Amino acid sequence: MNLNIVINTGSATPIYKQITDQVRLAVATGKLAVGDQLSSVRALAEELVVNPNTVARAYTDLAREGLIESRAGRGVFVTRKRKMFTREEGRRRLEPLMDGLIGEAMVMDFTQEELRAAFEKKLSQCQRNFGKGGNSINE
Amino acid sequence: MKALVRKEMRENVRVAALGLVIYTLMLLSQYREYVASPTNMSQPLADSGILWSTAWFCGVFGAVLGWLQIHNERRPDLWAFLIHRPMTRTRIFLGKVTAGVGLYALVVGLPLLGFIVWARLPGHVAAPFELAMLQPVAAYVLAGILYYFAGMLSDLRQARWYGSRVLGLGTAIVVSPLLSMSPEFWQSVLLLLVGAAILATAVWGGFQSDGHYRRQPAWGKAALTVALIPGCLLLAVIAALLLRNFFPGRERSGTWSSYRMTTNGSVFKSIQVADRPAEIVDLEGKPVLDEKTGKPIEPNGFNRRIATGPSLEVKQDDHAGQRTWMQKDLSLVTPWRATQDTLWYYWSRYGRLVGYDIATRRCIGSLGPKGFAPDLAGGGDRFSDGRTATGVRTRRTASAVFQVDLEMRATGTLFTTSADDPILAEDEIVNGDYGWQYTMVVTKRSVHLLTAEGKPVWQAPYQPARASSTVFHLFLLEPPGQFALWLSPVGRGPGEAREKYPEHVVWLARDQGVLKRIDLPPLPAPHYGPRLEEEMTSLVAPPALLAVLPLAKVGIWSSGVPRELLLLSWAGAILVCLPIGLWLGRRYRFSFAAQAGWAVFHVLLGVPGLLAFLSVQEWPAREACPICKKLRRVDRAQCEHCAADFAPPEKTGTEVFAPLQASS
Amino acid sequence: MNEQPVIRTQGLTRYFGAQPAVYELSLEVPRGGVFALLGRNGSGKTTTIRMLLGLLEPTRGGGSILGYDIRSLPPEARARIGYLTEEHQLYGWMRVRECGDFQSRFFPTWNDKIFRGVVGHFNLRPSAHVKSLSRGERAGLCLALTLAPEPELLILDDPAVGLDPVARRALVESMIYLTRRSDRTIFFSTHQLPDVERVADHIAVLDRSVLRACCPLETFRNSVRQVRLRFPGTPPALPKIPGLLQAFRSEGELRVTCVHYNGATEAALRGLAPAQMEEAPISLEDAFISYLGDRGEKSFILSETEAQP
Repeated sequence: MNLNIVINTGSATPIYKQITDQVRLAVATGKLAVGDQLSSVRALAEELVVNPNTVARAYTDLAREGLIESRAGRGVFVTRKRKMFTREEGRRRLEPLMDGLIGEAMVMDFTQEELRAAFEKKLSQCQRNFGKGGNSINE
Repeated sequence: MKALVRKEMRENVRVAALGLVIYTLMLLSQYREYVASPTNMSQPLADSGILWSTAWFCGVFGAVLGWLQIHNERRPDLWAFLIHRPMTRTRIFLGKVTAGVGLYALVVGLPLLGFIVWARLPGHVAAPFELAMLQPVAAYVLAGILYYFAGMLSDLRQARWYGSRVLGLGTAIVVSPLLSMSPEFWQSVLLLLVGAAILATAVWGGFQSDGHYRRQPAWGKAALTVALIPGCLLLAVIAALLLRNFFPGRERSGTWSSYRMTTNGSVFKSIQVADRPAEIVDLEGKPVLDEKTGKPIEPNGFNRRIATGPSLEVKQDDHAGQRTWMQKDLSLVTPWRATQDTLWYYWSRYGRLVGYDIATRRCIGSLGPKGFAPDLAGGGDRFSDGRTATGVRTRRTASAVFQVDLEMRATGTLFTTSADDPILAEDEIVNGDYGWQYTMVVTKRSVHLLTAEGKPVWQAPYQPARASSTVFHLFLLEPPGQFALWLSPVGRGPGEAREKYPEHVVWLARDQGVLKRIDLPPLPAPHYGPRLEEEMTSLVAPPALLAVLPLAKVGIWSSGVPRELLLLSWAGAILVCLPIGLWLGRRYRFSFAAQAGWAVFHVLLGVPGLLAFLSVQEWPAREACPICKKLRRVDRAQCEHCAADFAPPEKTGTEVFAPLQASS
Repeated sequence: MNEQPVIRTQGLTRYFGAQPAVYELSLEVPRGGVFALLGRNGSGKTTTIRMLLGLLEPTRGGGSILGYDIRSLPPEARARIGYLTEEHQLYGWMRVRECGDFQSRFFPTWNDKIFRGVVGHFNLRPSAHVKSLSRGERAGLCLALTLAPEPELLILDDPAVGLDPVARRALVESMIYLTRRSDRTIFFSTHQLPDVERVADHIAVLDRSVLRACCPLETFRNSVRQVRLRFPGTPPALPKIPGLLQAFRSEGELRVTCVHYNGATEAALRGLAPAQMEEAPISLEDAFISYLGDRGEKSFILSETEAQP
């Protein structure tokens, strides 16, 4: 796997959540494509030096979200995202992430146009990762 | 277990090496001392030098080794490392003991073996040797095992006060002198085995419970309590004797009277009451007055007029049982006399005088009644055994007294008697001014006095006293040539009191024979009231001990403990120890069986028992019961008074309890 | 599957003198997974472990370990339990290799590859004397000796105390290695909360000799919440709130940590009429410190001495 997951102890975020967040972000930014293989539970646990149950829980949560799936005898793979959340739920999850992004940008004195441009650029880069039909952001 | 034994031996190899060096040096100094003076008439394997060295070394080294073996693992994590392995605690205990006793045997055995080999090789030691002479050394070597276990016990016990841990050594310290007091060797070995078994069981119990008292099996608890009792007894006795110094001295009651003979042949009585100076009276009871002052004579002044002379004790039946085995072993061979080139010993095995050449250190032959023989047995020709106090020139058989000439290696007959009047005892009388003056011979029916050359001076027939033994005193009176013979019964057999037999006095003169005979009434046996030390000691002595003391037949009070002391002992036990024990039992709610058992224990064992009881018991804390408000032991699930359980921990509202899932 | 808990205690109590060091401890440790026993110094963790291993007699109560009564553990029980003490002490005169040889004679399931592997991982020379090893190296050796017999249950008493970060990491790695087999259980007591966060499945918290928590780690984390209340002026006095752990007061702000945050607690806090009230995320370490610290309002250390202008 070419994904470099880093976890911190002593954070307000539990370790399993740090893993799921990082995997989710990797999928979103394109570092992980659909069909890429993730490290097995044991291998990731030994790489991060954490309890395998923690990794297993992270993978379970990701699988429940439809982001990854486990194929018997072969490993864990990133899968085509299936619709798991209602629209309302999805918007509610998106809200704090947008707050964070816009807040950071304002602190760094970006203008609205600069931010919009960067956003458009990123969107086109990730175009291929967004699902066709049913999950298009253009509804 | 082999791995454990090996590890133990390696762990303690330094101490063992140090001990080996020390003991070897001790024995070397014995060797050098012996070799330095070739005329030394001792058997190095049995003399006091090696006995003291061995006794001290074995005791100290044994205790140190035992203590170290436990101390190496006294830290809780090291102890846990030792115990937490798939081996029962008993096997761990056995492994340690095997290694320790093995090291001890090597450290003590190797130098000793070397010493024995040196002594036994011909040409080194010019003295006879019998295997039994090694028994004393063997006993002290075995005694070291007791110190070994006591040392282990002292570091094993988790007692709050370190002093009480060392009490186990008391058993070893008390057993050591008892070893030399038994009549037979096997009894000493038995005593050692019993002591070692008690201490070893106490150590084993400590291993089962990591040094605590409560978790031990019953055998361990019993052995531990018993093992501490001698130490507590020593402490109690020392405390009593120290305490005695705070009390004013007390006059010792009782009277003691004895006969005295002056140099002119007159008989007086000396009466001593309590601690006052003695009173001298004549046979009618009139006090003797000092001519100069007119007042009753002082004992010191009187003692200058006392006649002197040798005494011989003759036992009618050879009542030899009063000696301990150690005394017997050490008198198998007695040094006799040294000539210029030969050392002569009396060897009771052969009944002959055995000579060793000083230069070659080898045996050159032996002397018996019939003369010299180049071997030891001399064809079975024996002198009689008999302990003469000063005699170095004569020996006797049942029918003759011989003068022994060591330089010529020959014997000459001084005196003979017939078969129906055998010789019972003889002694030489050496007068400082005259050298060897007389020889006194006691036969069955007469007492004979001879000159040094063997010429008879007088013969005094006597009635054999019915006492089992009689002491024959010979007084040399003035002017020279006047004698007094005093026959004094010494009742030693059971039920024989001195008071039963009269004292018989015979006056004699050279060439005239018997001048006068009288019988004097026997004097009452000395009776002493108990001293304050004895009273205080018996206050702390266990009644059970005082009850069995007379059975031992040795030492003080072998004829029975005075009643006052017995009563004091019982009083101490019943009035002091029993109430304390019962109160503690009630306070901590002992079971009925436990209370009864300890009550018997306290009554029988008195103050040392109570001290041992207090040393071993671990008292549980007590808390107030939430229901009945009375104090209850914290180590019982239910309250003793109201059978309520303990309160569960208070809830503060911040508890977080949730079911735990088993791992998938 | 074997549903018996590997460790179970019932009312386990131990007094030292008149004070209880462990009071009425009842817990169960399930098979498999990692169980951490937490608590402040002197709260009874080492005492509990010693009692579990039959090295200390309970004053009352009892328990079982692998099904065996803790008051009389037979040798076959000890063969299946590994025990690592916090001191990491061994016989100073032995060499590393000899320690392995010595222990291997006692345990029939000794796996020398594991021993050599752990010894190699800590870079210990087989001929080095134990007394010349550093504390971390000694810990590695003790760990090797404990892991080599492949025990079913591994009990560790504060294993990371005094270890440098490299040795600590190696220790945590070994614990994770053990979880490869689902029938192996680890029970350890520690102060190292980062390690607990990494490896523990379940935790139990001892507070002054009493068990206050026994749950999965995530449950504990979710139970302790921190709420931040902002006020225009000085924050008002705090009412009695069930489950309150601690409260910090500073200018215009009140930070409250509590357990079992529910509707009643929320209502009680809203009753103070704060201008703003929001839940703040809290790390495991802060949650733990709040849980075991003194209850009630707290201020920073020595802040009163600086207060006078």
